[in-house]
Amino acid sequence: MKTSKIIFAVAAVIALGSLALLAPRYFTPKEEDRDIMDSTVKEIKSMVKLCSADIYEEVPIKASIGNRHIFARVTLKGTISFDIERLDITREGDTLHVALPPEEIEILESTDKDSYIVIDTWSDKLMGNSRFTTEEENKIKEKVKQNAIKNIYAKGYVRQARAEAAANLGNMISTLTTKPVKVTDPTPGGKMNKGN
Amino acid sequence: MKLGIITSALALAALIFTGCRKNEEPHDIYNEIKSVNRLNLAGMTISKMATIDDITLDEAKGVKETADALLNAIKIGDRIAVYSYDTYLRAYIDLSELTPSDVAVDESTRSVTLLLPAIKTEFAGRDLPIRENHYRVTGLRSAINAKERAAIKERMNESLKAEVRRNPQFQNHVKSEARRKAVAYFESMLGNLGYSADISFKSK
Repeated sequence: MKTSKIIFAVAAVIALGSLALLAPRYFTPKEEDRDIMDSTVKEIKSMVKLCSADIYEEVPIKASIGNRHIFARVTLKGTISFDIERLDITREGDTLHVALPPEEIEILESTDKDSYIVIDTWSDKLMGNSRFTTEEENKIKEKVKQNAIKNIYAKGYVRQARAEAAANLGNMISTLTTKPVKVTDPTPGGKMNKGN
Repeated sequence: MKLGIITSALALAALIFTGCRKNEEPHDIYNEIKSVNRLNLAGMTISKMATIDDITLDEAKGVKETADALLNAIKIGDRIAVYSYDTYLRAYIDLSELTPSDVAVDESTRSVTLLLPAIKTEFAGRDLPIRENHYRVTGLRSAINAKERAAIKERMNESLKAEVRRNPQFQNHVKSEARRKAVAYFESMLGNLGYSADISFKSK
């Protein structure tokens, strides 16, 4: 009688254990739940932008809102370019003169595999909610983007990109016209603004 | 007896530590700046949308999906959300491939014959934020979390890139716009300097 009770108890423990292990598999949302629609083209636009620097950066994200915390990693892909569509080219004797326009910094998320991974979200409170809304997460990512732009200036990338753009622009116009070209740079260190 | 207890304790400890260890991959954080000499001529904005939703019995195919659909049917509440974001495809010419032999200037007729490098395309990147177009989680269903959103974005990204690879129309459209823009730009620039221009592109 005692032995059968023990066997029953062991069987019950095994059954409960199996249920605890298997339940998350069934209650976790499945890959098949997600319906991905066809891509649509929203816009095609033309431009003439001379790009002198490509930036590739992996950034750890550690942010908190109240008791909730998130740790993630994002791969950023950026460019430093110059709108040369309406360049003002003046001629002085045989030499062409042109001023380098302001830089435009574009920071996007890379399309390489696993460019955005949420590693952990947690709460300081026991059993507390660790969920971040889409809006909260987007605001955190916007801060990451703005910090990346500040770092690009701080590290001297803009200065380097402007110097190279000036040389490249001079070479391009000179090759096309076979005339000497002088490119002047009114802001060699660049100028950070809200548009960047 | 003591040795047996110690051995069992060590074995148990090893088992616990092995079980508790998270599957952590090393994450190398690095940054890189690369000098380029590229003329970006056109950009295409491609939008992608996806839903996070439970599979229903009508949609289920096969035993596994049917089992999932049955489980979903007994869950209390609904869990559906729609997300989207944009990806950018750019068309450009690599100016480092432009050599003096690609340009012929005839001063007598004030004309320039220009053979520009081939137009190429690449993904510029995608939006950092994701748009939440719809969100409805009711009853006892769990909220959609950041990990799920990151995972769906990854799958949308894979799907979009596969579509662009499969369908050359995406690249053809943006290349054709870039070609038109390059011709207009160089004609205008050379025109302002008093030259007429004959512009063509290398095939590769």
